[in-house]
Order: sequence, then C-alpha cells, then structure tokens
Amino acid sequence: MNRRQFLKYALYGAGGTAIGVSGLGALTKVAPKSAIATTNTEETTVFSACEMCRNQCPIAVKVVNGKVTKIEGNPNDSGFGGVICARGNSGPSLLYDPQRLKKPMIRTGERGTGKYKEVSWDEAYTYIADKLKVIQQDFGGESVAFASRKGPHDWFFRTIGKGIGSPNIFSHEATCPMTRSVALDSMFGVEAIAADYANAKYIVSFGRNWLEGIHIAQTRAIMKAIDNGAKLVVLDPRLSVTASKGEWIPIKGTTDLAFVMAMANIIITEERYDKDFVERYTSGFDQWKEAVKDKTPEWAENETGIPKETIIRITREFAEARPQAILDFGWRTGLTPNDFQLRRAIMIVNMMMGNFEVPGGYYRIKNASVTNRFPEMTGYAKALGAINQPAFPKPVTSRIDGTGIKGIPGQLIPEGDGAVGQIVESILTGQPYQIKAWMVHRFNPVISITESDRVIEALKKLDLLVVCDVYMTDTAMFADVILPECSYLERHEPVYDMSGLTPKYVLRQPAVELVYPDTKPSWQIYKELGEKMDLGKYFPFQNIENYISRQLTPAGLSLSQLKQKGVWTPEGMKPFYLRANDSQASLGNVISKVSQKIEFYSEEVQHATKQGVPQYKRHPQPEEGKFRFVQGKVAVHTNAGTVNVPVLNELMPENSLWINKASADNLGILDGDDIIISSGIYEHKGKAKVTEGIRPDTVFCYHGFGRISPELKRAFGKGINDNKLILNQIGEVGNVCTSMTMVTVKKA
Amino acid sequence: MNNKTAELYLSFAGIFHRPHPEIAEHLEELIELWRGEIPESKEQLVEIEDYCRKYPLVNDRLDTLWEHYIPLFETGDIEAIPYASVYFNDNGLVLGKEAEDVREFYLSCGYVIGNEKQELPDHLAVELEFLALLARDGKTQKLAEFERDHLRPFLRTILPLIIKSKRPVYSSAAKTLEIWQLNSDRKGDSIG
Amino acid sequence: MAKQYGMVIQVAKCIGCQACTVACKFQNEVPEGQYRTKSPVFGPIGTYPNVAMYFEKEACQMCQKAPCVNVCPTKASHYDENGLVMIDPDKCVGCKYCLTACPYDARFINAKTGAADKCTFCFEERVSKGLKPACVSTCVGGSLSFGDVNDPNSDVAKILTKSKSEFRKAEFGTHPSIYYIFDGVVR
Ligand code: SF4
Ligand code: SF4
Ligand code: SF4
Ligand code: SF4
Repeated sequence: MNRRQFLKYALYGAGGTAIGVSGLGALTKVAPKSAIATTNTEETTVFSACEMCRNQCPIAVKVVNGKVTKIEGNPNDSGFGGVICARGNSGPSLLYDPQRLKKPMIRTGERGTGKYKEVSWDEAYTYIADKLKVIQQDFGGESVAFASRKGPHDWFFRTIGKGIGSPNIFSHEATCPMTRSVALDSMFGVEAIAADYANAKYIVSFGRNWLEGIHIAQTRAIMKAIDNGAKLVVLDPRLSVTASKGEWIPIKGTTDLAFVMAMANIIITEERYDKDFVERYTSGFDQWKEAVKDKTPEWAENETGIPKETIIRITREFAEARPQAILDFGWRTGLTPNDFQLRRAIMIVNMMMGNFEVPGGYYRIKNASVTNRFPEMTGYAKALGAINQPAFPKPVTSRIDGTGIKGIPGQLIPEGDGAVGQIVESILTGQPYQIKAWMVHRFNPVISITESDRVIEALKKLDLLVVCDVYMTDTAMFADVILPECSYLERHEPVYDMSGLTPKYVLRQPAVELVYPDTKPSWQIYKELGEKMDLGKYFPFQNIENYISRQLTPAGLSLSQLKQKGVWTPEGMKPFYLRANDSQASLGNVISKVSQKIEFYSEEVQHATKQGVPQYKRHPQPEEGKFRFVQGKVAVHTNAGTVNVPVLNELMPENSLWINKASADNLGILDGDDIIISSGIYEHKGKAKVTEGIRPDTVFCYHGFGRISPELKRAFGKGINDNKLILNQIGEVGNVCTSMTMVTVKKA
Repeated sequence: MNNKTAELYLSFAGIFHRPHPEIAEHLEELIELWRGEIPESKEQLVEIEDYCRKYPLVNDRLDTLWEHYIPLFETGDIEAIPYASVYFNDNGLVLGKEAEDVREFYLSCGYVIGNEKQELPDHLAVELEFLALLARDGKTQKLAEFERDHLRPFLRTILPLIIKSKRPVYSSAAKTLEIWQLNSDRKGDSIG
Repeated sequence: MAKQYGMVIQVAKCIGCQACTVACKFQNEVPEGQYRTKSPVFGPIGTYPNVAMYFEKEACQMCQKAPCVNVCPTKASHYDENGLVMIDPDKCVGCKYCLTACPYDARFINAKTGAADKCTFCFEERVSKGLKPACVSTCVGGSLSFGDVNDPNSDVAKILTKSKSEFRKAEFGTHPSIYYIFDGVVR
C-alpha cells in the first residue's frame, strides 16, 4: 500500500464498501432502518442472584428495552421478603460503569506502573499457558498458588489449579470466617451449621454486626426477633449499629473468651444448663467443666473490664431464655491467633443450653442430602447433580500452609480454604518452598490480606501474576495479565444450594447482554484457558446451560423452571428442626462425628494444638498512650469490593478513625482533624472521627478504604487501609489476626 | 462535498480508536493531512512529529499508545471517558439514552456496530468514523444533523479533558480536532 | 372516606443501611450527588459508655398544608387529586422559592431537569400501580410502612393505632403525611 494513500484506501479500497477492510472500522453496512419501531417500551423482570457481596441474595432485575433500570429483592423468596440492601440496589451502576475492565490486558511496563496493552483473549490465554508451562516444568505445579473469594466460580477456577497438580488452592476465608468453620467442624464434624435468629428470645453478639455487615435474610431475622421482644446484647469495643439496637457492652478487646468461660462457669455452678442434652448428645463436658472451674465472674471482670454483676445478670437472662437463646458464633472472625478456641467455647455454651435443632437455636443446614436421610422428609427435594471430572494429578508436595498435616494446627485448616496469608510469606521467604506464580480470581490481596506493603513486595517478586476481576483492583495493578470478567448481571453461574431449614436452590442468570462485549463469564474464561493448557478434559460440558442442566436433572428440575422464579424450595415443606417435637431425637443424621457426639473435648484438636477444650490465653492490652486497632464493616460497602462503585462511593467515599472523645481531648485531636496512625512499623494518614461510641483504649475504622490503585479513581487515596497497619501474623488455624495491632495516634 | 472531510474524520477516528497498527504506522500521513487542512494546528503537529521521531518503530508506537490510551479512555482512572452517554445523561453511566440515539441514527443511515469490533455506539471514534462514512457517501444533510445533535456537544465536553491529560498524540490530536471542529466557522468550509 | 396516603417510620427499626436511599435514586433517576431521601445518623448521644444512636429517614413530609405550594408562583407545585404535593417540571421555572419555604429542606433543583424535585411517594411509577414506594419495599430494617391511613385495615393505620406518632417540626403547622414513631428510641 502506498504510504500516502492509507486513508483513501481505508475509505474507498476493496470495493469501497466499508472501512472494515483496513481492520480499523467499527461500523458495518446494513439496510437502513428507521427507528420508529422501537417506541413502545418492553419491560421484563429477570430473577437472578445479587453479587454485590458474596451472600448472593435472590433478586428481581427490572429490564426496560434491554437495559437494567432497577434491582429489587426477589419476592418469590420469603426469607428475603423482596428486600435487598443499598449495595444490591446499586447494581446497575456497576453494570454500566465506564471504569470497568473491558478487554484482556498484558503488562508492558514495570510491575505496579500500570502500563498495559490490550490483547485478544487468545493472546492472553496463550501468554498464561506458556508462562505456566515453563514455571511448572522448572518448579513444579505446586509453585503456582490459586486464590479466590469463595463462590460459584471456584469449580472452574480451581480446576486449573488441580489440573496442573498444585495443592496450593486457597479461598479468602482465612481473612474472614474461617476460625468459625474450624470450630464447627471440630465439634460437629460439619461446618454447615446456622442460627435461627428470628425465633430467638435472647441473642448475644461478640462483635457480630448484622446491621452493618448485612446478610439480608439474617439481618431481617435479627430485626424480627427484636420486634418480637428478643433481647440483644452486643459485646464490642465500638458502638456499632447493631450495638445501638441492644445493650452495648464495650468489652476490652481480645477478652471475649474470658466472658464466655465465665458464662460457662456461672451456668455450671448454678446448674442452669440442659443436663439431658449435655448427657445425651455431647462428650467432653467434664474436661470443659475443669477448664472453666476457676473462670469466675470476678476473674472475668478483671479480664474483660465488665462488672461481674453484669456478667452474672446477662448469663442468667440468657440461660432463662434457653433453648431460644443464641450466643452468636461470629462472621468476620480471626481476631486473635487462637480465635478458633473462642468460637469453640461459644458453641459449647450454646450446646449447654440445648439449643440445637430447635426453633430459636442452632441447626444443621437442611440440604436435600440431609433431608433425604429422614424417611418422613424424603420426596421433598433431591440433591443437585455433580459434574464429574477425570482424576486430577496427585500433588507431589504438601501445601505451603501445613493444611492437612497431622499433629500440627494445620491439621484443622479446611482444605478448601487454607491460610491465604501464607502465600505472601512463601513468595518472600521461600519457606517451605517458593511460590512463583499466583492466579487471583475476584479477590484483592493487597487490601484483603494483612500488611499490604508486604503483599505488594511479594507481588513484585512473582514470575507470573494473573488477576481476573471486573475492576482494575489494587492487585490487578501488579498483574502480568488481567482478565475482564463480566458482571453478575450478564452471566449464568452454576445453581447454588442455599438451603437453610429447608432445601433451596438459587439461580444466577443474565439479565441483559454483555455491556462490554469482550468481557466473559468466569466459567468460560477458565474453560477456554484450560483448553489452551491441554486441561480440556477437566471441563466436560459444552456451555453453562449444559452444566446447569446436569446439576438440575438429578434434582428433578429444569433450567426453564428455575428461570421462572429464580429460587426453588420444596412445596409444602415446613422448616425442619429435628428436635422441635422430639427432644431426644437422634442427631446421627445431622452431625458427622464418628463418636456421634457433639465434641466439647476434641481429640483431633488436642492432637493438633494440645488444647482439646478451649483454655484461656491472655493477649496483650494496649499500654498507656497506645490504642488497640479494630475494624469492621459498613452497610453501604462490601469490604474491598465496592468502594469504587459510583453510587456507593457517593454515599461513603472514605472512612475515618473513630477515637473516643476523652482520648482525643488528651491528644488535642478534634473531630475531622488530619491524623497519623502508627503501628511502630507502618504509618497511615487519615481523618479522626471523635465519638463517645468507642472504648477510650481502642480506635476503629471501616475496612476496605485507602485504596492504593490510582486506577481506582474514585477510591484512590481516600481514607484508611486498615490492612496496611496490621501485621501478616498467621493464626493457629491459618487465620488473620485483626485485633492484635496497637497503634499511636497523633495530629498530622 | 469536499472529500477531504471524509479523510479528516477518518483520521481522527483512527486516532481515537483503540490503538491500531495501521494508524501507528501511518501517523505521518495523518500529520500531513492535518497540516494541509488544519494549518492552525501547527504547534500540535510538531508535538506529534516529535513523538513519531522518538518512536520510529510501529511496535514501540503501539505500546506507548496503549500505555496512554488505557488510563485516558479505557479502565480505572479514566481521564476522558470516551462514551457520549456518560456526559449527556444517566449519572455518568454508559449505554444511556445518547448511546441509543446514535445507534438508531447509524441504523437509519444503514450502519450497525460490527460484531468483531465490539465497541459501544457512542464511543468517540465510532461517531467520527460514522461521519467519515457519511462524508464519503456525500450525505451532507445527515452529516450536518449528526454533527449538530451529537458530535459537537460531545466534543465540547470531552476534548478539553483529552487536551488536559497532556498525553502524547492524544492531547495534540484532540487540540487539532478542536481547532477543526469547534472553531470551524473560521474559513466557512463545507462543514456544517 | 377519601384516601389519605401516609408513610410511617418506626425509627427504632431503622438501621441506617441506606437501601432506601439507593432504591429511590434508581426508581426516580435522581442525578448524581442528589437525593430525595437519606437516613442520617443521630448521635451517638450521651457520654461513653452510656450512649445511644438512631437513624431517621428524611424526605419530603407530604404536607397537607404545604408552604412550598403556597409560594410557588407558577402553580408548578400543587396538590394532586389525592392531596399529595407534586411538582409539574414543565411549569417549574426554577425560582427556588419552594426550596426556601420548605421547613424540612426536602427540595432541590434537579440537575438534569432544572426543575424543583422531591419525594413523590413514587406515586406515578409504583403506588398508582398498587405497589409500595421503592424505599418502603426495600427497607431492610422493616422501619417503613406505607398506605391509606383512612383505611383501618392498612399497615399504616394498624401501626398508628398501636403506637404514638409524631410529626417533624409540628410547630410549623404543615400537617405532614409522614408519621414518626420513636418507641424504643433514646433521644
Ligand atoms: S447482602 Fe446486599 S449486596 Fe449482599 S447479596 Fe444481598 S443484596 Fe446483594
Ligand atoms: S416537606 Fe417541604 S417540599 Fe414537602 S410538602 Fe412539605 S413544604 Fe413541600
Ligand atoms: S417514596 Fe419514592 S420518591 Fe419518596 S423517598 Fe421513597 S423512593 Fe424516594
Ligand atoms: S432501608 Fe429502612 S432500615 Fe435501611 S436506612 Fe432506609 S429506612 Fe432505615
């Protein structure tokens, strides 16, 4: 082509029909059509599932002429009552956000400088596959770590990891509820235990904040209980919204276990426990009795700073209400290194109340495979089918975090979760061996794993970092390859089992076509990547509809059936509490311990940690002039996930540091002042919120702010990133330790 | 109709599309065209020429164009969102009414967004490309209508943002486009 | 008896989650940075550790004697056939008299339309179609109820017979249609 004739050629070349001949144009010639036909509006409702946080609440998406105009709760699900939270309501502004990732990108400059070029999906897959092949050859599949926020994408994402023989597959749970899962597993043999808040008469929260860390069904259940006259007691160093709706007990940080043990002590001394339940269903009560025998209210007063009269009163009130009395087991757990023992102690006290499998207590989640163990319940629901995969190569090494190794605490870590913080340590220290590559799906380690600077240092050392997300996250800024996932409003996902007191299935389906046509659903991304890596045989389905049908057919359901309502529950089945009418019913079908008992004393935990029943361990308290640094959730944001979403950002663009009025006065700090928070190792700038709603020895901020990615324009640099200040200390069962950091605060 | 108009529109469309090897390779031709047709943009053209000399190889040009295109138009810290809807209505979100309106306008003239290019209809480059096609085909009236109702209001908001970004090539090209389009009364040419 | 629409806000049940705020924005296409409603926090009141805190949803009070209507020079602000205060954006000249007249700071000039704007009880889009207003139907805490206060079977009438309600700034004599119930709230 003549160098000077390029534009002319593009305009008139090759028959003169379209610019497309140069590979440049976006427009294609068709027969002209006048637009008048589209004046009547077409309005539909698509039932699907929210993903503004990981709770996946059922939603009803209003679509007008192919555009999502509004999202509401799915009225077909009574537990949710057609209600969704602020984040769920803001879904359309994520869907149509011009800042979303739109095309696969490959890094062209230094890590962290944000220099990228866009590539085709095939180029991106090829790049990843080639790199992984070399790494796998040189260092083994185990040198590739996989981490995602837990969710329905995991089946596909993790298949890649298993396919290359990596044992190092992680969820985000170690940064969130994992110690609770470990505790439940060690006592019941299953994690699938939930609380029936709506029917409780007395609820005690240890920092659990249903009214800001919103889970629609649970938040509503708590409000219903309060409405019905239930008493709510909240032990929290900070006045959360939840605390404001009940009796606020500003407990000294990290001493919750002392309170729980004192409760047990009082209950045993005053013989307020359900003796029959303890005898019939539990084991290890004697060891527990021994462990709490000196944990008197006086002792607990000294530990927790709560007057013994208060401890006794609450314990008595609580025990009076049994079995409709719940000591809550927490959500974002992982406050201290031995946090899982707190969760165990909480569940032990619950079981002393006999509040298992009765209304207003705890219950085993009743999915179809559980209900079908009961003759009177069979026929209501059938289990979802599984998509079978050929055998995966057996990993040649054990995991980097000791998960599953007998005789050490790692024995207790759930295999599907792992201690995600260990990835950072293995990259930086090479211990127990070197992680060379990290695949990240919808997870933001820079903000979600403690000690952000160390995380960044680790990311810079990797041979390969791949991030799949909807936004340019702080972590994506360091990636070699960025894969743009489409939003939850544009994709199918495998059907979820959301069973509670009855079986329940929920569908996510696209409400509209792709807004950015080159984004893809995660199932497709990993299937295609897998095919590129010769792992195609592990993805034995044609497309997601086919996958879903194979889940639904064994359950006697069809995709078209599920599409109509978005949720499915067995008709006519009442909430199933095993002991509601028979207080002596066998628990054999709902707990999974070989002993057939709920284990207060656990041989396994003893073996792993030398502490078969929870023992009290005193953690340091802040010295004079220092504060304990604690964090929490806010209702309008999801952790590290939504601060860049336009409407939510508008409502709350930044966080601040809560500091008690008297403490602030001492330091000469006024409300709104610029401050510097220092842990002695790390410093962070921020703004002070001076309040009466926090302990004088504690400071607090909401999690998920202070983003470092300049690409996250709206969120960049605003507020405090809590995890920058917290050390990457890995707790006994792999958990983060979020309440162990002491800081000083001064005026900036 | 001056068929240079078509070439001019196409040249700007080429610049504001996602970076493309053909455009990277033919930057000099664009400069030449602009020098002839938009002589007031001398200063800007020198800037682009400097850039061309600094990056003689097409691949280097492409990489640097991407490096700037992404933060300028594409993802994260977008300095100048390239979609008209975002400025016209719908709370800063894409695929608003303006996108629908221009899509319908394209259709009424016999154009749709091709499957392969996968661009939103109100992307700056697509609008410019559309005008190149109208100019090429001598559809003067449609062209004037589209310029008045869609392109000019869009340019008034977005060009200052691109110019302000000081990003090589893009900023200079935006200034050049501004001179041509928004001060176009200057020589009473054939454009609207 | 004629219909008398009203909204009841049980303050104790509001958790400040702002689901109502966001639902209203999408339902009514309220421009960026503007709101017809918000549920701000009051407090913490008191001194540590004896403190209280609550949230109070704020929006147009749908006054039955509305100062905003009185001052409107073009009759853009008017009572509709149900006695609800509505704004006809075509008649509104943007003089802002109503913004000043409203004792509740409930109005703003809509950045898109240039006309005065405020809560409409979602009348046209929802209530006239038998639905609840957007904020009410998404209320997470269960604080909001809506209906005909003259219909003894309505949710609102039932709540109002059980609990004592208050009007905001009753001293202005505006006769609002929003009933606040403070049972269980420490103020
Ligand atoms: S809690 Fe809110 S954000 Fe999370 S899934 Fe439910 S509606 Fe969506
Ligand atoms: S609250 Fe204000 S805007 Fe609403 S009716 Fe009363 S005076 Fe008018
Ligand atoms: S009734 Fe409608 S307009 Fe009024 S605040 Fe609620 S959602 Fe907004
Ligand atoms: S949705 Fe309900 S609970 Fe949430 S802020 Fe609004 S009124 Fe309060």
